[in-house]
Amino acid sequence: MTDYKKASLRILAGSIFFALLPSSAYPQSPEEIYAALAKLPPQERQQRLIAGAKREGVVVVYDTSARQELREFETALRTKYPFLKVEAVTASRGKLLERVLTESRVGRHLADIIGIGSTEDAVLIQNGILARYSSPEFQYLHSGLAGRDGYWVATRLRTYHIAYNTKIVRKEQAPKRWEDLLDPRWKGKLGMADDAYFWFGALENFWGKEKAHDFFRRLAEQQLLIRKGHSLLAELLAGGEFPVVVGMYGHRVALVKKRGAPVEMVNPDPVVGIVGTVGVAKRAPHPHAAALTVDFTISEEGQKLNVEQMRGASRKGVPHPYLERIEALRIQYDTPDLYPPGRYEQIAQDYRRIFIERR
Amino acid sequence: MRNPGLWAIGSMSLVASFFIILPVLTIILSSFRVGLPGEFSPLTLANYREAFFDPFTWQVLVNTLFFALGTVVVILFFAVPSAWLIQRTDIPLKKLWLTLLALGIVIPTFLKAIAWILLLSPQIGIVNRLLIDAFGLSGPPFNIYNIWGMSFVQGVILTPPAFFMIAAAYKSMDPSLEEASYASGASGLVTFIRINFPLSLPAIIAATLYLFITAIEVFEVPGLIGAPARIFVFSTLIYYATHPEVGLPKYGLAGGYGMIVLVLALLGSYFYYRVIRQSHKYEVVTGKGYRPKLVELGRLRGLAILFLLIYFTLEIFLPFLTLVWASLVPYIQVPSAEAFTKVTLANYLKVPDYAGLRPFLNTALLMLIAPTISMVFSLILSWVVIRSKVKGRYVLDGVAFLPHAVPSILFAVALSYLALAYREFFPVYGTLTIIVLANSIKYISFGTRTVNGALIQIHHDLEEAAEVSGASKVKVLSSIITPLLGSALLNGWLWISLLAFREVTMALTLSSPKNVMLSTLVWNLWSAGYVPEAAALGVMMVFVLGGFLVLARKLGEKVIGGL
Repeated sequence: MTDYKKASLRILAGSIFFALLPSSAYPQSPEEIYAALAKLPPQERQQRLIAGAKREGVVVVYDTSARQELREFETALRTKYPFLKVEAVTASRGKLLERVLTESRVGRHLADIIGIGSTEDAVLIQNGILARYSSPEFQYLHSGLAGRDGYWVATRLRTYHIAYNTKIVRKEQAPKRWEDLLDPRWKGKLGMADDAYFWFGALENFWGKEKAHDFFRRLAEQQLLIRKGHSLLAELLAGGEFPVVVGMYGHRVALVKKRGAPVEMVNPDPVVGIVGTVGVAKRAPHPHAAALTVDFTISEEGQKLNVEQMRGASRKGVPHPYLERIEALRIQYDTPDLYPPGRYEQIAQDYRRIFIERR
Repeated sequence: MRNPGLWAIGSMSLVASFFIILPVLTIILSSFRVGLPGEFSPLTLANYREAFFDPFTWQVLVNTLFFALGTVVVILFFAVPSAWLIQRTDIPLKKLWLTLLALGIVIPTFLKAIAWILLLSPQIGIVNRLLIDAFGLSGPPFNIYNIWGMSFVQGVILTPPAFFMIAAAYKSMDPSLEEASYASGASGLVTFIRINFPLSLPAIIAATLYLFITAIEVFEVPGLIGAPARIFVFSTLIYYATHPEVGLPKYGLAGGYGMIVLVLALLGSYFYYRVIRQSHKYEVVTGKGYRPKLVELGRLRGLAILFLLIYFTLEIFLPFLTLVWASLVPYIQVPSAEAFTKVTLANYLKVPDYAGLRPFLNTALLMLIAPTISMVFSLILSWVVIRSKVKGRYVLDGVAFLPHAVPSILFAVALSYLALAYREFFPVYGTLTIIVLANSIKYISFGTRTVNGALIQIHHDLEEAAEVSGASKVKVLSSIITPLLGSALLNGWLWISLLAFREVTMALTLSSPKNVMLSTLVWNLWSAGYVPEAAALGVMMVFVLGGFLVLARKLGEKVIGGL
């Protein structure tokens, strides 16, 4: 018999052996575990989850949040569950998506929780990387902020605004609507990020592609002052490099304002909103810890931490950190179902052509 | 081969070549594929079509060449005179100048670029404001947002490594040539132009070439200063292809752009080889009268010091002061009476809490190990290229230049992919080791340029004399060459250590929770909006590294008796 045949036989025999074992000897997949947990009464479920998480001892989080924010999250999580260690991998969205896809392809399953962004979730679901997990906490969220299949849940909300320097622009002069930015008096005075793609996409959703692109092309005629990254944009606005910034993250404005900078934001209609989502990995090595962490993130405590970090909460009843009367605003959120794979690449390309390369 | 020593040298060269060529091949291969590295897809020319059939690319090529050329002109303007002044004349305070040159490298490039925006922006630039107030000007005299501004800032930032590559050559020059020049009545300046400059030509060409390619590759200055003026260069295109805000990085397309850089680099490399092939012309370190005499500056001394002071004002003092200012105020603002009331040290107190101990430890390890590996391989490769009679040795020099000829981001992606694919044999994915490895390989280019320049000046006689007396090749390398190269090797080590300290692109690409570096930490703080904290950490890094430099020089003086 050749070696090849011998090996095949051995594999066959092995498979039969494993197939005959009682199913409990198998390590269960996260989805199986969650299905079993969902059948238990709440208290028992919670005990089982905590016991499992204790055994696992660690949760590996792949996330685009800043390292400092994740440290604060870890502190809060460990106050409640001291046995749980957080290992965080942080990177930009594209990098993290690539990393997850590559690791999955070579069979290296390291991540428990993946929080990249609404637009990447579609790609993750398509590639079978996310597990279905419906947390009992879902019922307390604003509607539409948890995926119906349980693949994703929105944990934090960001918004885009028009921002201005109050030393240069008086409140009554500041542009109030997106269309006000087209006024000739703002020519050469509008700062903008080199990658405000979400803002672009959300206005496309709201106005329709034709109207939105007409607006973008006229806006591009305003000699926009493009700068790299929101940190630089916020600092330069505070320093007075430009009087007004188009499509500026609300939390960044709120942050420099808290530090005493002369900046203010206006809420045009619609305010553009971005949801930060997380999902459990289909092959999560620590499934109990993952579920416990997701539950914590959208619990009241977890959501309050969000607010301290200047992000909006997805849970009902948690006050917004910088928007008053939020119920009076129309917010266009970019939930994952609005962005099939490929749509964002198109948006990024259009954005670059219209605003950056100007062709 | 007849003796084990040669075997050792040969096999070490092969090991180095293997670690260089493997990631480079991965990059080249990926430029013929779409999708992520390792993802199966048929070979295609799609990336090249997208890169080269777009007229935009050619406009970018022109921008890139102008930017790189401008940068190199600025570099040479500062680096060549200061190398000569510090190494060959009796200018005072040499240790101070040398320490300042090394210290400047510590401030992360992106912070320096931002400092220059705050100094020279037409709207809020502090220099512009001061000049307008002082002379009652109607508008800002300077505007940083153009190709001159980019080249100026980039050139000033890249001068220190060029200085060092050139300085090694000025350090060792045959005094008999200079004496002959003086004896025939030539002045110090004429001697510099007719004797010193031509003799240092291999080093200057090496530095020019190395930094030309660096200028093509670096992203920070074009991204921060060029993008607002809509001046795009290859590094911007590669950056946008590899760092999309959404969607997947297009490494294949970036590889396509990268190939242009690679071709340019290899062409330059061939030119360099034509120069070093005639290496005997530059041999000035002989068995006799090795330590050259210093040129007396006389009345020109004041002017020389002024020149260095202007340079250091541009390279360190102004950006560093701006950084200190940014670390003391809650948000960036032009200094004013009101602004001074907001000054606080609170940002410094937050840093230890954000950083922890690990980044400091990781960075220290990187700074000790990477330059050591890099310099050992550089010495061996350089020796084979310049000294051995092995056929095809100049190909080896091209190989040594390869890591520099491919963009850092692609190099890191290739390494990261290889580490994932071969993790069973080589479990380094996400570890400190892979960042050390990446830096060790990347800076072999810098190390070999440096050692080449110094080695080329050492006369064959010395080795032949040793061999006639029965010394083996290894013995020659360790007992004759290494001590003669002492200061070049030590300085090379130190500079690679500093370059590795500052390196952020590869460290970010290869990062994991366990291998956070100080450089990536500053970047993370900055991009998350912790701007004063990032500035505070930057200032702290300058002080920590200042201490390290003084210590390293003291140690160096003990070991090899003076730099």
